[in-house]
Amino acid sequence: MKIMNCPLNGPRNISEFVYGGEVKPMPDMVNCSDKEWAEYVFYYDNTIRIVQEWWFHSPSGYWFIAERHTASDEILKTYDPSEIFKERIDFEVKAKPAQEVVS
Amino acid sequence: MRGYNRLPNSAGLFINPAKPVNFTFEGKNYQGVEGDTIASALIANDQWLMSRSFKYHRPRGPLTMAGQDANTLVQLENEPNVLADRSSIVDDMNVMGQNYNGSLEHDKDDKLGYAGRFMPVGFYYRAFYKPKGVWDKWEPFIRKKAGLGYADLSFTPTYHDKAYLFCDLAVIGAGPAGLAAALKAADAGANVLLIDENPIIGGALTYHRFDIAGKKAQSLREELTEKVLNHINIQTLTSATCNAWFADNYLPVIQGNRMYKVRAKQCVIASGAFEQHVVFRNNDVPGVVMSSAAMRLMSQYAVKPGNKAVVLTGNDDGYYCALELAKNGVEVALILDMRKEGASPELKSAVASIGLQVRLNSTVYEALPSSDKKHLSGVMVHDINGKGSVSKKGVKVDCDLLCMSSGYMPVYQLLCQAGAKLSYNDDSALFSLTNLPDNCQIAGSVNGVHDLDAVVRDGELAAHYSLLSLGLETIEPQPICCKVKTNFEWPIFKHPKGKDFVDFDEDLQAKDIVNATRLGYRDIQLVKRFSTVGMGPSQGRHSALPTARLVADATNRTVTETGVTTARPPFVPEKLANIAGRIFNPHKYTPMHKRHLELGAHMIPAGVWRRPAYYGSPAERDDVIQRESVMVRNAVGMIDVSTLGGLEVRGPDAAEFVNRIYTFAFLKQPVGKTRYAVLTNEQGVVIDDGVACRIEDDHYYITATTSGVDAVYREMTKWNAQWRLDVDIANVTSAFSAVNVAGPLSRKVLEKVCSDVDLSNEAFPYLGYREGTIQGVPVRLLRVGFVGELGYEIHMPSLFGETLWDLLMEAGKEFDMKPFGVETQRLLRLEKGHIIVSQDTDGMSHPGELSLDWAISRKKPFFIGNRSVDIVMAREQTRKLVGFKLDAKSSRPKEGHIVLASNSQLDCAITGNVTSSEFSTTINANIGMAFVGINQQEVGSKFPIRVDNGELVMAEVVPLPFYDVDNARQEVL
Amino acid sequence: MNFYNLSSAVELRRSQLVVGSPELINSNISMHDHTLFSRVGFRGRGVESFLREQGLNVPAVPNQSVVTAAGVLVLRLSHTEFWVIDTDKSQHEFIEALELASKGVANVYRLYCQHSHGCFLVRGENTSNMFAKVCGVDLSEKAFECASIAQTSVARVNAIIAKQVISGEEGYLVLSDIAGTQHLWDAIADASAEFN
Repeated sequence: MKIMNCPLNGPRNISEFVYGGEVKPMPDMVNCSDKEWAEYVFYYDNTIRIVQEWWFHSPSGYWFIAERHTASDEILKTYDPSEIFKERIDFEVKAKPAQEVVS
Repeated sequence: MRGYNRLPNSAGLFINPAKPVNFTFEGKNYQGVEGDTIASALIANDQWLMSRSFKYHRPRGPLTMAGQDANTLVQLENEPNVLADRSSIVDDMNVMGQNYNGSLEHDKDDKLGYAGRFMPVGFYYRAFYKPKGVWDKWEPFIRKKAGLGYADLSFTPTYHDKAYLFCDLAVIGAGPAGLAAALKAADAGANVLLIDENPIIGGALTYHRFDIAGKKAQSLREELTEKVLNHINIQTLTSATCNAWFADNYLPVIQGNRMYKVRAKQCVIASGAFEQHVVFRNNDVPGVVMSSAAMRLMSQYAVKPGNKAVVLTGNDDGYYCALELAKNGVEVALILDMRKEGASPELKSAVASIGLQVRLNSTVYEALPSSDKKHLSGVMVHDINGKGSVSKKGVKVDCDLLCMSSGYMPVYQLLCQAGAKLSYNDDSALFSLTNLPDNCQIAGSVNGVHDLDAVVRDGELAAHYSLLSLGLETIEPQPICCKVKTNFEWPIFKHPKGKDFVDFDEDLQAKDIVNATRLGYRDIQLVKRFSTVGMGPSQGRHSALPTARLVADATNRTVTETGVTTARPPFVPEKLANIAGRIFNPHKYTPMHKRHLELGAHMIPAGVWRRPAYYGSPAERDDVIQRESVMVRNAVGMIDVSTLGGLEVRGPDAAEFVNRIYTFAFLKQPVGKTRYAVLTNEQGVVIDDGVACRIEDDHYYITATTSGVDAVYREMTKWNAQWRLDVDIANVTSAFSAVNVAGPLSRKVLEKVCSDVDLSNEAFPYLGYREGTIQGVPVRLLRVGFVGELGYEIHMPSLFGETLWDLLMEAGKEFDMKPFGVETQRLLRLEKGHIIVSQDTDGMSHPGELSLDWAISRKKPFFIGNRSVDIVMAREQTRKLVGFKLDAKSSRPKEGHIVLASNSQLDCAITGNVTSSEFSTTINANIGMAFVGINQQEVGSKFPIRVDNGELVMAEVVPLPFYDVDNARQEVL
Repeated sequence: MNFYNLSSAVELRRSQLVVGSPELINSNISMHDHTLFSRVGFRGRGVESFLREQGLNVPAVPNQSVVTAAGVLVLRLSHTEFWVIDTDKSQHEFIEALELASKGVANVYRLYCQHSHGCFLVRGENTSNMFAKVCGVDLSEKAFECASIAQTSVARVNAIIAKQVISGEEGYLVLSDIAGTQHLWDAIADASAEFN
C-alpha cells in the first residue's frame, strides 16, 4: 500500500486518505460560456505531468494539497491549502444572462 | 537413523534423527524423523514416485527439493495440492498422491502419453469448441482429468490473522548475501527484519558446496548465523515467505496462520536464484534432479539421493556437487560437462584426484527409465555438435541419479513487481535486473553474483546503499564485480521423439513452444496464453528461461527482446484464509440499540449503522408496518433517528457559508427557524438534503442524510479551504442522538417531560427550532414534518440517548405510544411525497426533475451547483419524478422496476424506473414514486411498469402528496 | 437561545459499551472504559490563548499532549484544535467550568467530544505489539514516544491514540466515534487475546 505524507500527521497508509479531485481554478461563473463551464466541471487533461490534487486525511478531517506525477505516481510534495488559497473569496451578485433564465 | 537411505556421516541440518515420526503415503506406513519433509522422508525410504504429471500422467518425483516445482503436489486429509518437499511430516499424517486414475503406482491414465501427438499445444482451445455447444459435454470429463486434489468441504475453520511489522530495513532471503546485508545494516544502527522461507537461516550455505575442501559454507554459515541471531537490532522470521512487493515497500509476509504486513523504509532483496534444468528426452523421470536438490537431500536431510550418479553440468557447480556426492558415498559414474573447456584447473584436478571421470562437450540426450518407468536406470550420452545438436551415436551409462546444473535464473519476481527491468546478457547467458526504485536494493545471486566472497560483499554493498538512504551512512561505497560464469548458453537438446520437457507442470515439450511461435504467437505473453507455459504451480521458475531462449531463437530476436512473462503476486500460492483472516467490518450502534433489541426490533443495515426496520418478526413484516403507520397517523409513535447526519456551522460568516453551500436562501433565515436545505454538486445533481436550524445569527445546526453526511462534511471543509470564510465547520453526527416523536398526540407526550419550552402551536409553530431541557438534559427540538403529522425531532447529546428514550417511552405509555421502524417511516414519508435523496434520486437527478425548483434561490450570487443547474434546467427535459397509484389488488411494483414508453409495443424505450413503492393502508392503494418520461407526467394519465415475471401494470400519475394535501396535520395542529 | 451546557446532568450519562468481564483482558494488556469521564474540545484561532488564560499548559505542536498534575490531559490535534480530558474522574467541575468559560469567547468554538467519542485506556507490556494487529502506524517504544498522538485508522475506524502517563503509568488513550466504540473495543480485545 502506498504511503502519503500528510502535512499535519506525517506518513500514513493511502487508505487513510480520500481523494478530492484536481485543484483547478473555477472560471467566472457569471460570464463564462456554457462550454467553458462544462470544461471546468467535466473534463480533465489526463496527461503525463505533475498534478495538484486535493487529499483529505479522514481520521483528522484535514484537507491538503499533494503534487503527484501521473506517470510514476510519485508524490513529490504535500502542503496546506493556505499556500495556494491565501485570501477570502467572494462572489459578486450576478446579472443573469437572459437566455439562461428558466421559463 | 530412520529410512535406509540415510547418510551415516551427515547430521542433516533440518532434522532431528532422535525423534521418529510415523506417517502413511498412499496407505502404506513410513517412518521419517522430526524435521523431515514428506519428500525427504519418502526418498529416505526409496519412494521417489510422488505424483503424476498434469497432462500425460507421467510418473514424477522431486526435482528441486525446495518447493519450486509441481512434481511433489500431494493430498493431505484436509488440504489438497500440498508441496511434499516443503511440508513437514507429523505423526499419523495420511498423505495421498493426486491426479491419477486408480492408484499412484498404477495410473490407468498413464497411456495418455502415447496419445500426446494427438494432443498438440492449444489442443483444448481448438478441439472442443466445434460444433457449437459441444464444450458443455466435454467440460465435465476434461475437468475431472485435469483436476488436481480435492477440497474438504466439511473443514473446520481455523484462526488466521494479520499484523503490521515495522522496520528500517527488510532483508528478503537469509542466504549469505542477506545475512551480510542484515549484519552490516544492524551494526550501523538500523532496525532490521530478516525474512526466509526455510526453517533455518543460511540459504545456499545450508546445502551448497563453495570450495574444494568443503569447509567454507559451514564455517561461514555458523559465523553469520551466530552473529545474526544474537544481534539486538535484527528480528528474524523463518519459515516465512514474502509473497509480493507493493509500493513503498509494503511486503506481505506469510508465516503460518499470520500474514505480516511489513512496512519497511528500505528493502534488500536477496532472494537467490533458481537452478535451471537441461532440456532432453525424458528429463522428467524420477531420479533426474537439480544438483542443488541432491545437495539439499544430503546436507539438510542426511538422505542419500542415489547409489550411482551422473552429473550433467554447464558450470563449476556441477563439479562441487560431484565432490559432495562422492564424499557421501554415492558412486559418481561420470561428470558430463556441456562446456568445451570444462572447469577451472583446480576443480579438474580435485575431481581427478578422487578418480572421477569428466567428459567435456557432452550431454545427456535421453534419460532411460527403468522397466516399470518409475525411476531412472541410465542415460544416453552424446557429444555436442553445435547449438542444441548432438552426435548421432551415443553411449549408455547406467545410473539411478542424474544431477543437472545448466545455470541459474534470478528469483526476479519481487524485483519485477518493484519495477525492475530484466535484460539478458548473451555473454553470461543470464538475465539481470536493473532500474530498481530508490528504496529497494538487490544482492547476491539474484544480482548475478555467485562467487561466495563477492556474494557477501554484495550483501554489504546493498546494505550500504540502504544505510545511505536511511541517513545512517554518508560515504559512497565501491561497487563490486564478479566474473564467475554460471549459465550454459543453450542447454536445450530437442529429441525427435519428444518428451523433452520445458515446463514440467504443464507437460510442455520443446516443440510445443516452437509450434506456438509457428502458429503466429510471437509475443511471449501470447505464447504463454496459447501453450499454457508458465501457468502451472511453479509459475515459470524453470520454464521461463528455456521458453525465452526458444522463442527468441524461433523468431530471430534476442532473448532480451523476447523477455519473460509478467510475474504478478503472489510469489507462492496464498490461502484464502490468509487474506480473509481477521478482517474488520465496522458497524455503528445508536445509544438506543439495546432497547431496540429488547423491543423485538428487526434490525437491518443502513450503511455502517444497524437500524430497526420495524418492531416484529420478518414473517409479519407487512402487517407490522401497516400497524405502526396507523399508530402514527392516529395517535403517536417514536422512531430513533440518531443516524441522521449532523453538522454545525459557527462564526461570523456562518450564514454566508450556508448560503453558498445549499440551494435555498439562508441569509435572512430567522433565528429559531428551520429551513429545508438541498445540496447540489458542481454538476447540478442533487446529492443530499436536510434541515438547517438557525440557532443564533452566527450558528447553524444542519442535518444531513445518514449515508451522505461524511461526504457533505468533506465538501464543506474543502470549499472553505478555498473560500477562507470565518467559520468553523464540525461534523457532530455522533455527538447527538435523536428521536422523532410523531403523531397527533406527540405534543402531549412531549409536554409531560419538557416543561421549559412552550410547545403550543403559536409559541412553537411548524418549522420552529427550540432548545430546552428534559430532566436537566439539554435538548434541541425541531418541529418538522417528515412523516406528515405533528411531530418533534428531539436531538440530545449521545450519552443521554438511552436515558431520554426511556423517559419518552414512559411518558408515551398513557397514549399507547410505541416505537416504529425505518421501513414504516419510509412508507409514511412516501404518503407525504417526501423524497429520500439517493433512493428517489440517482447520479443524474437535477432539482427540476425532482420538482425542487421551490427550494432554489435564484437571487443569490452563488451556490455550488448554481451554473450547472441553470444549464441543465434550461435544456429540454427528459424525465420527471412523479407519484403513482395502483389498485390495492394489483401486483405491487418494486424499487428498480422499469417504466416503459408504451404498453403496446414490446420493444419500446425504457423511460424511467420505480424509486419507491409500498402498500398504504391510509390510502388503501399501492403507491409509489417513479421517474417517467417527460410526456408521461400528466396527472390522471397512466404509464406502464414492467413488474416481476414480465407482467405490465398500468400506474396512474397522481399529485403529491398522497396524504393530507393541505399539510393541515403537520402545520396547523 | 441559551448556552447549551453539554457538561450538565453527569449522572444521566450512559456508556453503551458492553465491555465483557473481566474488564482486565489478561495480565499483559488491560482495557478500561473512560467514556463517561468528562472532556471538552475547542477549535479556533483563539483557543490556545484561551486555554492558557484558564491556567492550562498546552503542547507547542500538533499531535502532542500534556497532562497536569491533577490528571487533566490536553491533546493538541491541530494548530487550532484542543481536547481537554479528565483522566481519573475527578476533574468534572474543572471541565464544566472550562466549557462555560468558553461561552462568547471570540474564535473559540466548543466541540462535543464528550458525546461524539467513546474513550478507553489500553495499557500493558505488549500493547504496541497488539496495536500492530489493528493499526498501520508504528506505536512501538522507538517510534512513538510518550506524549505523542496518532490520528489514524484502527480496525478500520478512525481513532485518536494518545500515549501519555495516566495515573502514574504509561498507557494509550483511544478515542473514537462513540457509535463505533463497541466494534473497536471488541477488535482490540480480540487482538489482545494472544498476549496472555
